[in-house]
Amino acid sequence: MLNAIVHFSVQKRYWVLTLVLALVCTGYWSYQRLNIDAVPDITNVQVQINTEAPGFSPLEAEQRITFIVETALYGLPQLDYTRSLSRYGLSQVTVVFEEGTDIYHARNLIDERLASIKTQLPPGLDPVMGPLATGLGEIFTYTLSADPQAVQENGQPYDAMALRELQDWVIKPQLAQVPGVVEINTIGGYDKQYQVQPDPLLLLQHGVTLAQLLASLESNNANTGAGYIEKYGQQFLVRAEGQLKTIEDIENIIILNQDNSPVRVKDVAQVIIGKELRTGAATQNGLETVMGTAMMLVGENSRSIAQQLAAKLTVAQDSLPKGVKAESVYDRTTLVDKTIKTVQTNLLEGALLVVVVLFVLLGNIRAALITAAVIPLSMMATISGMVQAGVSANLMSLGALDFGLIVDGTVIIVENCVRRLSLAQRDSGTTPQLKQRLALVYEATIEVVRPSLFGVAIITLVYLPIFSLSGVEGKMFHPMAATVVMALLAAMVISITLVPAAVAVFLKGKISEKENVLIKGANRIYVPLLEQALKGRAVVLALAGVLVTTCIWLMTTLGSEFVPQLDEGDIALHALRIPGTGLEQSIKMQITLENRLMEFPEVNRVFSKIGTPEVATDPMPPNVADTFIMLNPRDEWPAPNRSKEDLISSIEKALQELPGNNYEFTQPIEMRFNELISGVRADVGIKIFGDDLTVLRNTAQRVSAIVAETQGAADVRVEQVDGLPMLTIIPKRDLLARYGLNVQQLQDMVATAVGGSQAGLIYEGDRRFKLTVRLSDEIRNHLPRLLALPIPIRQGGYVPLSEIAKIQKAPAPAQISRENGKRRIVVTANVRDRDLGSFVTELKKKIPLQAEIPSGYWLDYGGTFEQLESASQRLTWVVPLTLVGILAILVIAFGSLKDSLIIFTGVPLALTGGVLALWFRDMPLSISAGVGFIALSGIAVLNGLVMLTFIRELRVSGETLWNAVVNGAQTRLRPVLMTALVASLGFIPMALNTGTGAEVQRPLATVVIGGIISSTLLTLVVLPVLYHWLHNVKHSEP
Amino acid sequence: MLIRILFCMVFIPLSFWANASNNHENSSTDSTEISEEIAERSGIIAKAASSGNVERHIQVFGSLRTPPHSLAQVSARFSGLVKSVSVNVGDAVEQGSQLAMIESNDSLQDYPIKAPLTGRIQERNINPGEITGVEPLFTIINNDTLWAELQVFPSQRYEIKPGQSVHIGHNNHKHKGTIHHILPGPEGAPYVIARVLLENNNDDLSPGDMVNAQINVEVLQAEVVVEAQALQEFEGGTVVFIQQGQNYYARPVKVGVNDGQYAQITDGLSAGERYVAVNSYLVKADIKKSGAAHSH
Repeated sequence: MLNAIVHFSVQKRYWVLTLVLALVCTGYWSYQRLNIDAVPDITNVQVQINTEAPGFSPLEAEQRITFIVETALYGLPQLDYTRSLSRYGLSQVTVVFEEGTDIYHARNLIDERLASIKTQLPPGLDPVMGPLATGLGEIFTYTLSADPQAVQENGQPYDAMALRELQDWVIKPQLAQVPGVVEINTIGGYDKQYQVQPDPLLLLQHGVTLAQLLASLESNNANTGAGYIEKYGQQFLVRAEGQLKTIEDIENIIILNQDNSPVRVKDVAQVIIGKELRTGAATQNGLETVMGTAMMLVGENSRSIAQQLAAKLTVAQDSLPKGVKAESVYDRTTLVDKTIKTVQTNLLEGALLVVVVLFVLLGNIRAALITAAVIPLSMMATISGMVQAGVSANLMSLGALDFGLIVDGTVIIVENCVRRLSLAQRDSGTTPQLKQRLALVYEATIEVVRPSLFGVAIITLVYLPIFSLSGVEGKMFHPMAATVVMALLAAMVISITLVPAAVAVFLKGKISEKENVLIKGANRIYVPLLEQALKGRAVVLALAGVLVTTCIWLMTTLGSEFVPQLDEGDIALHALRIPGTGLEQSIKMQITLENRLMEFPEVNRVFSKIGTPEVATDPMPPNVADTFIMLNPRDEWPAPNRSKEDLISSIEKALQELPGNNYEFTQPIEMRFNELISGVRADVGIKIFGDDLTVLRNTAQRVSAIVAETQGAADVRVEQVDGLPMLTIIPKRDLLARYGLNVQQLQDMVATAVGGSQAGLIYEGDRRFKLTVRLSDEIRNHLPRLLALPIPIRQGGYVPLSEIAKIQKAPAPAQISRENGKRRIVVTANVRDRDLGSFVTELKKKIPLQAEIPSGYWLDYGGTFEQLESASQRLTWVVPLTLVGILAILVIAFGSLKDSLIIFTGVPLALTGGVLALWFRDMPLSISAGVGFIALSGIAVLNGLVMLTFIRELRVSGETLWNAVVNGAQTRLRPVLMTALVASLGFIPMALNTGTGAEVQRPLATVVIGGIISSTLLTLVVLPVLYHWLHNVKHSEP
Repeated sequence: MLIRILFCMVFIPLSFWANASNNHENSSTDSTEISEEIAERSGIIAKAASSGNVERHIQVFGSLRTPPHSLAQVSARFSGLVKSVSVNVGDAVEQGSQLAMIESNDSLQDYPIKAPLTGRIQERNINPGEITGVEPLFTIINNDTLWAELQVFPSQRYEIKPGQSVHIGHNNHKHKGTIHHILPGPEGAPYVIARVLLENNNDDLSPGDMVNAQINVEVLQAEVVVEAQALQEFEGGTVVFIQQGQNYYARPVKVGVNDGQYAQITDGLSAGERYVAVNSYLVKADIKKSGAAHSH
């Protein structure tokens, strides 16, 4: 089969070469369709269901919305779990599906369920599914700002409300049309409202109730179509107009007649354009602003959509009034471009170095070019494969691409061809005929193709454990493993088809294989060295053993990091204030914070979202602000070489001085992922489920006491549920009865007075604004005045609110979290100096006995220990299986277990160099480094394979053991050195890179460079020694 | 070896990563340090506690009425023919001035009808040539003084006493007065009426108008008074934040009377101590900030 392929490639070489064109075309076509993003998407399959419930407290939102929505979702197919959040004015249920669920199908099912519960929800509330986007969805953010000199038509300067109107009605409609944009989410400013602010005294005076006021507004604000009439053959449409247009219209509505004189709205109330009770705000560089965030549809190409959005925003700018500016403040294109640039640079520099190395060692520019051409070609094939497999290109997947490995197979084949061709030329003294040349190329390829194929198969196999990772880790590393495997397979296929064809076509004429100085020198040193080693093998083997042992010990001392931090270039931070902090207070504190940040010369712009945006994709309370810090380009910094860590720590230091804020530093995309995934991030989480919040809290406290006593427990905390100060108005029912009122009348009064009631819409062309009735802020915010609010009674007259209701100030739950349809509270703990498994077992035994869990309440254990458990379970069989698989391949290759084991020893020997290199550069052990180790083992096995194959062949042809070992090793010196140099030199740009994405590549490159040095030395010395020793023993025994 | 690597790759990092993500300290301190510069930048202002007046108000509503002694219905003592009428509706009249001349049916003598009080003619029911009966000829009203009848509901009743000063709000104007007396409300009404005499100097008050009123139920000479905005809820109690140089700490206090602007401190603070008067919330937020976590 293999032989047939190579034979075909050599014979139909031109035909095969035209395939290059096809490959390039496919690659280019695929590149246009490739999803390029900065980081892998680690969002799970989830749907958010948001129900906005203006004025609802957390308790009411939970009872009347969340519960009903959750119940409706029971039994959805492929449902993993639900969790929910009930906050002031918002119920959010997040439905998480199993991996691989079709999101469109899932949303359809949810839609169906939601439709069936519409009647059970309080009137006017509508559960809506969140935008169809993932954690990578927020690709473009812009802000609106106005020149302080610019004035509106009415002569006022542009305030946050005017800017919001422009955003809602001018910019948003234009941007929302960009294909691939699923939502433009607005935060900041105020929704413009026409507000009727009644004066309680005037209401009393004219005997008007709030209900009457509301009713009169509602019934005087509609246009009605009244069909048509025909007159003299012409048709006239009839329309009864009645819509309110201006403030005067509203003011002149007649509420009732008092003593034959009409009472108009203006007699009892003030009509103004007012501010909504907002739940979120936005600030930029210390000023309030209005911010829009474009969300990308799941699976779209972020780069092209962000570009289109930027272009559209420029167009939209022209339609804005003079002095108002819409600016893009976050554009994913920047990051993606940087990522692409990093990958491009590495590929280009790497390819150049490969060409140089090959030229120097082979002394043949054509051969070097053929080998180097494999890099772009296999890239093309990989890209096509990625598009087909739906793998996105990002820092992780492209960053770990390792072209040293890609060209290895080719290097071996080309080297052998060149060697054989030049040998043939030297032997015959003439350039070989075409037929002879083709036969030579075929033979030379076949000679080494098997080991190189086995090598690739082994490397692919080593990636298996990575595929067995699940959850976030899996999402992060699967694309990387898939990409590398695809690249390797592509390179392998190319190396046995295109490469022999190209060699056959281009390597004609005189093959100028110069045994150059380098190789000659190396040979001069190598042969005596090998002979010495063979003689003193005990010393060599002992040294190797010591080295390996030392490195194992060294490895345990290395720090470790699992998920690498991908540097997004910008900084994001959560500014956290104590629960219960009001929005306006939060804005004030945020502005102080932003002004402080702007004093850093490195900072270009700061913008923040406080609280919840219009579409509650991230329902933050008003005490939390997402702050984004955009940095200047490095060359504008006072010290362009300042590290980002250093900058962050000095920013943190400066901000810590500001009173009242707590901070969590992160990055924009990372922040979004955390918001979406949000699970228990501690080692152990004990979830307590039940009904009563107080009982839950008390139980949680008992549980946390038990956990804290347990040996090994650290950072034990109970989830904070309290903390929102609440003013509860409790009706005095007997007094209500005395005045002939009922509870609902009282509640309606309070709701209208404090929160406001909507009485319709005012249309200005397309723009529509709410018409609301609410007391003025002077009364609303002043408790004694609010308590004195007169409530009209049936007998005529009134009674003050304080007479019929009690006011209670008490902390209440700021939010109610539920999971799988039940209230829950979480106790979290980390474990130090003890293994997680026994800790959890002890807790599972102790807690049910000692914590007095009330009946109707139950426990569940979660946390990262779950992931650890499942990961370790999987790895305990995947890893041995992988090893057995590798060995099996080697045994198939050699038909000898002993030889296979000899090759296997090359792996730990190679790894020693990687460990040492990490240790020298003070780098932690990470998955990236792990990928480096994988690559190394592949190279080591490959080299060992090739070398052993030669030695065996020499022995079969009748050489003595000693001669076979020495000659075989010497023949393989050049290809081993070549692969080593190609890989290590090719990785130098990566190892030294500081650009975006470098943090993934640096450890990988470091490991490979270090490992290759040790691997080369050891393959060249220890392997022959081992082989000689083991086979010698065998021969001397009988 | 490979096992070792793979295990290292997975296990050590996992636990490390988990540990690193959760190491907030939970502190229960009640003080903090803020440098002068930062305090100024954040608008934190400290003042010394001092003695002062605290007024406590009750907010009520009521309506204006003409006092009974300011309303006169003038009738003819003897019925007869109206010879002349010298005033018209709206005219101002002095007490004793002549309003009309009647020729008595009995004596056929003319006699004058005189104004019993100074005021304005509100109604005129006769014209020359008519015969008077028992019905009133004129209504004279004097609005120089009005009664504000304030409705005081049961929960506030015990605090109201005659003599308390009252700020009456009417059409965005303030009028001062004192409670003259307290009367039960009309039959069946749940409230009592507190009456306040109001001078109608500018003639802008008229009977029937609704008014709101703030009754100063308590005026207190307190030894220690702080600005009401300095008070914060803190761990289940009320505190003020004491400033000592750059150190700020929470001091639990007992609050006596609080009029919304100033609050009397009955325990926990002595005059002269410096407390945070403006932006006290920031100090509270700073002390408790370690508890500010973000849960999604």
